[in-house]
Amino acid sequence: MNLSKKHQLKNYLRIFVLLIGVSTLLWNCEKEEEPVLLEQSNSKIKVYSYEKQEVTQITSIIERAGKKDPFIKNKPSKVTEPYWIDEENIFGVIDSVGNKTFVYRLYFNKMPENTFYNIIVSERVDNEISPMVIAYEMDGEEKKSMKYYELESFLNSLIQINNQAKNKGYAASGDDIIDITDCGELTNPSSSNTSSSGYGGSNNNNSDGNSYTVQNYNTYVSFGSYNVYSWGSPGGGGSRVTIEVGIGSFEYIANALKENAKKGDDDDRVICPEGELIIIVNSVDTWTTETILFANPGQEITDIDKHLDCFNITQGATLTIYVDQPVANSSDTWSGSASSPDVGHTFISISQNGITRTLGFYPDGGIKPKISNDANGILVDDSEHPYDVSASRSISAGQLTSLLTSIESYGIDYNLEHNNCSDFGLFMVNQRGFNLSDTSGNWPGGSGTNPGNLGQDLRSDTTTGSTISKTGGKAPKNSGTCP
Amino acid sequence: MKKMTISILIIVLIILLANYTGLKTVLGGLPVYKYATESNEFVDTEILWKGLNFENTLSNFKKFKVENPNTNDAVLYRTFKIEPLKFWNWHDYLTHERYKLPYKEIIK
Repeated sequence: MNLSKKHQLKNYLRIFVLLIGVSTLLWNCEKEEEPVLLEQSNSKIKVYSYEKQEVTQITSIIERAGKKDPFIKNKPSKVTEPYWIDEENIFGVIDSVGNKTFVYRLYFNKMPENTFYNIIVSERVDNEISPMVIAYEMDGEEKKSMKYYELESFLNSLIQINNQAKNKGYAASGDDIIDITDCGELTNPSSSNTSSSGYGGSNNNNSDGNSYTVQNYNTYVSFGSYNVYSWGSPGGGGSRVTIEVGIGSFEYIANALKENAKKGDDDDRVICPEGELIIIVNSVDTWTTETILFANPGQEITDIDKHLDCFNITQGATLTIYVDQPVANSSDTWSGSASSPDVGHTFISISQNGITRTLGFYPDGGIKPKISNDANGILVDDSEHPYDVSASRSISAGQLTSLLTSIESYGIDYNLEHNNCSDFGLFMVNQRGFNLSDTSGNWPGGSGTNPGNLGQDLRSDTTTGSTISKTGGKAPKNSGTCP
Repeated sequence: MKKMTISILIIVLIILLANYTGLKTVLGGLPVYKYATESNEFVDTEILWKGLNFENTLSNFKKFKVENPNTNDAVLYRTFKIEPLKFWNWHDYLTHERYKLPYKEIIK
């Protein structure tokens, strides 16, 4: 008997030692871990700001191209000229060889909201100066394309009106039509039907036979900050051409070129126009850390006052509530596996005159249903968060003011049952003219307002003035900059 | 010997159930993971059960570096510890990329 007990004790001791061993091993793993850079940044290229008079040679070329003085110091409320250039926002970079590339922002009287323009001028060490215009067209939320134009023909054609411009609504009226020399078009391959080239990008051939490659770096694709790479060897022996959209992506270009070199790609593809390095400025006014470019989806909004400071509280806006249901078109309160459940999400967006902010309410710490339902609450940027159903309404200036105040002062802790993302969304919209039901649902260990039931309530909502979208999709990205 | 084998099997079974079934949620709850760089220039949250996943965090971090090419704050840390006694997380500890990041304590 004693021997048996002793044996049993010995076994338990062995198991205990085994568990301690495993635990120690895991603990040591953490201790010995060395900081690892996910990606090493070697980029040291700086962006400089220039005054108009500092780049006189280029300025005169631009002026000659348009046969007028297009420079305006401060953005006026109304411009009578067909186009103008912001002389206070001129940026430039100098590459390792000494080539300088400058970028100017170009405006038109009636610019479409989804398009912006840059004049790009490269001043090369061999004294060659190659100005051009790049138009960035953002078609909806997904398709992004760039068009290249020869500077002179582009500006002159805009002065004299062309069909393309007129059709797109950014030109006035007139009968003279001049074809712009279009040097090519690059389209983000993630949203186009282009074929894969086999080395990480897509090859396109346009009508004039030019060929170019778009590297597929979808991770970095967003309005005004996406990377497009192309290269070629004009005449069979020239230097490679690199085009970059956005700032600070040089390392990725270098990697792309290296990859291409490894594969022995050295054919005589030509891209128009030639340039060593191009840096492109998007619709953001200044490159300061204070500027909200387009906050990254999923990131905590640390300064909600600043985040919402863009709206004009003397005007109305559109308020939308989005519901990402655990199972589309179902009141299920959760889906997936019990070890990794998906409970869905509810969030809102505010839009006014091209400015959009999308946000939702989340817990700042882990939740244990039934045991610990509370956590501090945080507001998170929900741009591009997928949703299954949404409801929108126009709200008045007064409602907008109270909405912004409510969001900015929403200091209540997150509670899985009583103050979750759906409670937040419902509170924000039902106070501003929506009349959505608050249906409770059950889940293991709790019950309350939830995206499953709320989504179904939205689908059956018939409140006058509310627009219901049942097709789902991705919530809009933040757009527009704060003053 | 037989008893020991049974004991080990029971323990292994519990560990497996705790790592791969709803027992994981019962024991560990619905987690929220926070990430930050050394100086907190970049802070991000992973809440998988609400659609914010780790890939999203990595994507945001890459964008942060693209937008801040000259930053010296370019190492991403997890701000949650590996706790060996939480045996329901052992599978994640050994396999999930989030635990391969270096650890730092978050400073509010």
